[in-house]
Amino acid sequence: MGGWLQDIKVGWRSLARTPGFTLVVVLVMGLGIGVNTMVFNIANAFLFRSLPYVDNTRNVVISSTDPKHDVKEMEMSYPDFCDVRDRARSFEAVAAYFETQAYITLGNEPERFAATAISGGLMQVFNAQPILGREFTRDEEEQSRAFTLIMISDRIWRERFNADPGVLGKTIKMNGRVRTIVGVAAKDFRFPETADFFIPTPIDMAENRRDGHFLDIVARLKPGVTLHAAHAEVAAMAADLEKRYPDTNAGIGGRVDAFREMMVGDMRPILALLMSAVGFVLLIACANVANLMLARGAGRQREVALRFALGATRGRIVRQFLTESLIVSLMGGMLGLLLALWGRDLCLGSIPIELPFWMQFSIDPNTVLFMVGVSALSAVLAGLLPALQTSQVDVHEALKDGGHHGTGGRARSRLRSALVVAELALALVLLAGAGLMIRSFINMTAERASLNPTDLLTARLTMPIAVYKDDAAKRAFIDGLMPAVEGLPGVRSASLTTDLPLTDGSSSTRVRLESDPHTPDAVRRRVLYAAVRPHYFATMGIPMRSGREFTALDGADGQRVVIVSESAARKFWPGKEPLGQRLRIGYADTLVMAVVGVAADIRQNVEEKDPPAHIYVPHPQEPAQSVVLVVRHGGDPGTMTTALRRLVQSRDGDMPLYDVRTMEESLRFGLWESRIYVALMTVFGVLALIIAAIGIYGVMAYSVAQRTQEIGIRMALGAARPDVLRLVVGQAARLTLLGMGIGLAGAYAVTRFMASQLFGVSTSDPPTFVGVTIILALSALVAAWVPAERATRVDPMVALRSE
Amino acid sequence: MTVVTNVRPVAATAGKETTVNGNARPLLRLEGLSKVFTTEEVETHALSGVHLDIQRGEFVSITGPSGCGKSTLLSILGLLDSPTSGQYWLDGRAAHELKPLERAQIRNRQIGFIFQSFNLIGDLTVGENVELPLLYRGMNGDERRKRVLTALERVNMKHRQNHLPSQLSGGQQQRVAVARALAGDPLTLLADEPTGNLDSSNGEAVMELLRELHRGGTTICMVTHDPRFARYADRSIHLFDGRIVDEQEVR
Repeated sequence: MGGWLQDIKVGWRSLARTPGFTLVVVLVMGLGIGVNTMVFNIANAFLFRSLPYVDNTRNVVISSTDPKHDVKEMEMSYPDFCDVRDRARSFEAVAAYFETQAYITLGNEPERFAATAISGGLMQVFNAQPILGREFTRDEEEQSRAFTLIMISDRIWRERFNADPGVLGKTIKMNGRVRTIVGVAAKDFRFPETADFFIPTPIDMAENRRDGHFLDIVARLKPGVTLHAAHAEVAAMAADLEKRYPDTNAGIGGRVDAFREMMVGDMRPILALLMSAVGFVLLIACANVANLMLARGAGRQREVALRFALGATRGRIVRQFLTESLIVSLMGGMLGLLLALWGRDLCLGSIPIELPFWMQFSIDPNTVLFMVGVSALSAVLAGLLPALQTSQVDVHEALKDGGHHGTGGRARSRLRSALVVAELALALVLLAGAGLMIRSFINMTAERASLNPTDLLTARLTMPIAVYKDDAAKRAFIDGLMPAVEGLPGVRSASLTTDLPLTDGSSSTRVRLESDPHTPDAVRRRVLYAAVRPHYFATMGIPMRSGREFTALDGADGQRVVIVSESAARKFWPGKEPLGQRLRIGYADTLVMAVVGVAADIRQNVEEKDPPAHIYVPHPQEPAQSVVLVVRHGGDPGTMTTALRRLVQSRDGDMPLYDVRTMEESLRFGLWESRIYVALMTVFGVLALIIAAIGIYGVMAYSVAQRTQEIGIRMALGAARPDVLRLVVGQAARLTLLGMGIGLAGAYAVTRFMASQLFGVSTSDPPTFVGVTIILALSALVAAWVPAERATRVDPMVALRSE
Repeated sequence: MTVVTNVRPVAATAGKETTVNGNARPLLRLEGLSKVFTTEEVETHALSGVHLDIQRGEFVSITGPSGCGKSTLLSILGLLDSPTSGQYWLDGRAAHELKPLERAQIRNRQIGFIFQSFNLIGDLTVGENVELPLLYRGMNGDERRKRVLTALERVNMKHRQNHLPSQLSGGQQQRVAVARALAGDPLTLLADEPTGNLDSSNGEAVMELLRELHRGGTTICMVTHDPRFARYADRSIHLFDGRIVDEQEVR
């Protein structure tokens, strides 16, 4: 113990005597450990941290599957859910839910809130007992009762009802229906993500179909029941249902997955990419620190020799050096923790949406342990090689009076060079990764230029089903609203759609062509689907390739018509004229539509690799509850927003207009996740570049200091300034070329694993590889130039007199 | 000057108590010891077939011109370096066969070093410098502190135990180095030019200290190039070109 204490004491004093060295090392370590801690903190929130109200061993998700249509998981129908709830023996509680939106006026204006329709027993599944009142019962799932009840989140209870204990029994008007508050949900329970209101799942028992898959199912396993056993039981039940109900359940299977995995599983690839990137930054930082420690160790040969002379073993000497390494790593770790906090706040500040209630990024013991663990690992990574190298000393030689040349000078120099080569190679791999992400992001945003998004305003509105009960009511509202929108001052054209392109939302359906076999089990083609109004394509700036846009003639009573995208036309009728072709939509096969136009491809989802087949139907023929107004205007977006709000309010005072943004903002909003990942990768790449440049600067500066006498002799013998520059920069260039060669090979090998994260760019994209190589080469050149320049100022007389 | 031949019968075997010319087993015995330094192009014979016995309690000085192998000999005696050939017996043990860990242990427990340039560690206080070999020995804290104080008292430096080496004069630093060498109660003190970096009065003082230790029974082997200080020893050995060429009883 005394030995350890002395190692720490001596290490601390030794570091305190060289504050410049200590500062640089702590800073470099801090950056390396900081970015790792920051990314781990994100990964921790998804993968390791216990989620509030979730029992990782018992909470599960139950899904239907449709292997014939390559659907690995999908929602369940209400009758199937009831069968599972009533018959399955693996579960203590089973509940269903779907996400919806609540339009509620709590103050002066209607507001939109996230809401969840839940079956009885959902709170029981998560052991989330309401603060006040009760959760819904099973018989309240029946539509007529379901429409009358509501639970509120504790946030709403505290902020909007001042935590009134008498809130139960009060009424709220939601989506046009008056509901009575029966409960206040458990503290911070906003399942599944940000819900503020809970309503019973409204089931029309008369219209209740087994092929209507709309419910997400969650459950709590009975104690001792494994996931595997539960899965087997649900799969067996699905097989049984398939036999009993072949018309609706043919090919429909069932599965059970861990709840946590279903919530966060798709984050794994991007988290793995980010963790790899910061792992590279840490390796580069460690190589850099190892280099600095090697240089420092060279000056401590005599001390090491003396310790040997006094009876220290090599292990003991190595331990002393590792202790010093651990001290700076832990100091770096603490700095890193601060940087991680700062980085976290920066990232969270750039997220434009409210995060799910279970996603918590506060620093917890996992993160602190990780920081300490990474610090210890870094201490070994950065300290072991220098410790082994420095402890390899010729004691006899080093202890001679004035003898300060330990053995291994050449070996140490080779090791330092090897470390710099490794830094450069790692930096190049990371830069290539960052470069590919940037290129990918640029590609994602390229299409938006064609939309001229700056003077295009978008706004979403939802017609409450209680008020706008049927298609005629929805059509009437929209038919009245749209001419008024078009008549607003400054509006050049206006239309609407159910899904805005290049964002993150899309609806899909399945179609059958007339040429496809017409049998009940025929495979139907999946297409993206949107209902749009006349002038939609012109307003958006999406060209029509052939045929026409929808017109006022394509109304509810008109001929059923459809516009398809180029991709859909190519895919469905290769080599044929698409106009005039017919297709059937949905499983029912009852709607037959004729193609009247072909529109240019545009991706619906910003992160789609290729534009999928897309069909558009006239909104009057398929009126949707929720629509997006698109308004091309020549005025100020703020003024237009106010005018639009007033207009909608004047027609329905309870209807909120929300997500009001310019298309430019919508595109930015849709890309926020990608933007954060790209920004992080760029920061990591730049950090790697800076640290590697510091590394090459350090090695060249040390080399110049060591070769001062040699440079003096060369100058005395007639070497001119360019000769000295060539000498030093040439040495750096050799290291850089070697590092870049290894780095390019490494990047080629490693970036293949990024394929799933890239959009429209190959994993070995030549312009990216060339670009980052040039950036790295220039950085290395600049880093080497400073010591090279210093070398040219060596005074030969002074250099020759020095030892 | 007496020229000593380098050929002599083997007189000691590891682990066995034997006598040479009626004397007790020597504390240090070298038999046909050679040391060759090999670089890429040159082979340098630092020591060639050296035979030497140093008895327990003896004070031996090793003299000779620069490059004659004095320091190399002392390094081998102190187990800091290994001979290329020949045998080295330390208190009856075959030191030339020892493994690195055993060498470190013997250096720590049986040998005390004093260097020309003091070689105190600048980051440690006087007390901590003296404590260092005891720490490597794994001695408990109380025992260490006791020994440190005793050793510092012997060299009259107890009052400076909390100072850093940089706060001491050269003579004081060397006294601390002597205390550090003594603290572990070694079998022998090996001193490499202990007065080389000191002025004459400090040099004399350090030599008086060594003489005093010798009188107390400490075995000392000292390398020096200064004939004045060589006279403090019982016996003076003269090296030339890696061979012992002269050996004199001083008194």
